[in-house]
Amino acid sequence: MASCMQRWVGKLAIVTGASSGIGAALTEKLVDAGVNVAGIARRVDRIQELSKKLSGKKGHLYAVKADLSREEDIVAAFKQVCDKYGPVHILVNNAGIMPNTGLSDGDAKIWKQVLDINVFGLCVATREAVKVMRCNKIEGHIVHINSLIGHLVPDLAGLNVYPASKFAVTALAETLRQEFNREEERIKITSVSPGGVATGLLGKDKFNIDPSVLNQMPLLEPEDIACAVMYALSTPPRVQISEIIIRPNGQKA
Amino acid sequence: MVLSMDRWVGKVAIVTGASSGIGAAVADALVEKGLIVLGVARRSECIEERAKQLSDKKGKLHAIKADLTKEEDILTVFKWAKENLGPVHILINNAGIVAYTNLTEGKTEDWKTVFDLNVLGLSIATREAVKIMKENKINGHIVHVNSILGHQVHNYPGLSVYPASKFAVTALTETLRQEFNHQGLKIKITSVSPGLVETEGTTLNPSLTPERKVFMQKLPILKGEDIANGIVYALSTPEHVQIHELTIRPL
Repeated sequence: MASCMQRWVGKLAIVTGASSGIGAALTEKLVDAGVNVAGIARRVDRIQELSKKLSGKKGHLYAVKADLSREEDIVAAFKQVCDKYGPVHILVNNAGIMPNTGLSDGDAKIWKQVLDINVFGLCVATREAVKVMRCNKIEGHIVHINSLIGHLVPDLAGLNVYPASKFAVTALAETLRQEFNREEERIKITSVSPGGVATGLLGKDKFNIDPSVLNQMPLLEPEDIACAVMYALSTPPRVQISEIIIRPNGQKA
Repeated sequence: MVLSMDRWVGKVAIVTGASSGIGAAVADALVEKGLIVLGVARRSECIEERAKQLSDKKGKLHAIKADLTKEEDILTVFKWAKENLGPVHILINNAGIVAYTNLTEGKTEDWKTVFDLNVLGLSIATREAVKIMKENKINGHIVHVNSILGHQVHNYPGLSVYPASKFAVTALTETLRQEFNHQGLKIKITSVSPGLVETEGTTLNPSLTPERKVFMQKLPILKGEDIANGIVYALSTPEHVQIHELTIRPL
């Protein structure tokens, strides 16, 4: 497979939610490939630990603290990162939450949190990245870590507004593509939509699937999603991977 | 858990519509990776020509003549492959046509040909491949070459039943996945949906009207190898990973 990862070597990628799961796995692959990564998350200590683990690799990992549900935090983080480490070439909107509550009887504060991070934070981060790319005439790449649940609503209790937030991401990817197309801008937008992944999102204190149920479910590894993103990033300039829907083989939904 | 084509080396892949365009690019890419590839097309001579040029590669390209709108031809292909090459591990359902006509004035036989190839031919080939995979307990991989027009009807004139045939492929992908699950099979199904690709169905079509030629030349366009690379990515994923949909557009 011909790879064009060379175009990103020495350039800056911003990965939100880089402290664990898919974000951490992807950050490792990028740094390994020689891309510099600014990992943004609340748990910045975890990114710092990862950075120590990755010292000696071709790329560098910088840790930046920000609450991705707050516009001021996101804007400040982007300014800090680009002033210090250079203009952003790749943005991976990976930060997202999937808390468990009802829709017909749920907690609206939780609904708001989901929409603030999964939708609004993603939009603000995207806008800030595109601003930098346009300023610097960068033919960049934006990746939305979406979900299978951004394309269909599985029969799973407690999802509340999560499917809605991910359906929004599906629409946002296409809306963004059309905006770039209209302006004849050569920035790529990719949506990667995984089914169940073995990260903290599904477990205790998060979505809270019963461990006995979780153990029976076929799951993807965070690395599988990282590989999908790397494939999308490695395509030649004329190729845009719009969507990768990736399931664990044998998943019911 | 790394991407690798290793488990397919020396195994048999069948690629329909392998005489040109995406099919040719995929067949050639798989031969480079060391697979035994049977290219199926009406113009099998084109495949034979390329087979000569690929004679120094890790894998091998074979050619067989078949009209994929005819069930008997499809059955013959799979029989020949089974008897001469071995059990099929990978099926690339690439053969497809666009009949540039329309719904309000078009000929029924043109519409029928589109469905016969894009939907029925694909389904028959899939059934035959799965039969062999089940017999041989092969955790194989089937790829449907779909289209972005299988997900949304874009405003391109003269496509008539083509989007409908590709919407069918989108549904067939999920139906097949569900059947594999019900039967406890680990065979994978992937739909690859390209935007405009430079093929004999599009910009290289000799019978393109001047207006359509002008219209197409203004658009960004992909090459067959871009789709082949996407298919190789999907095939390279570990056994527990199913790439259900890969949508590839020209920028």
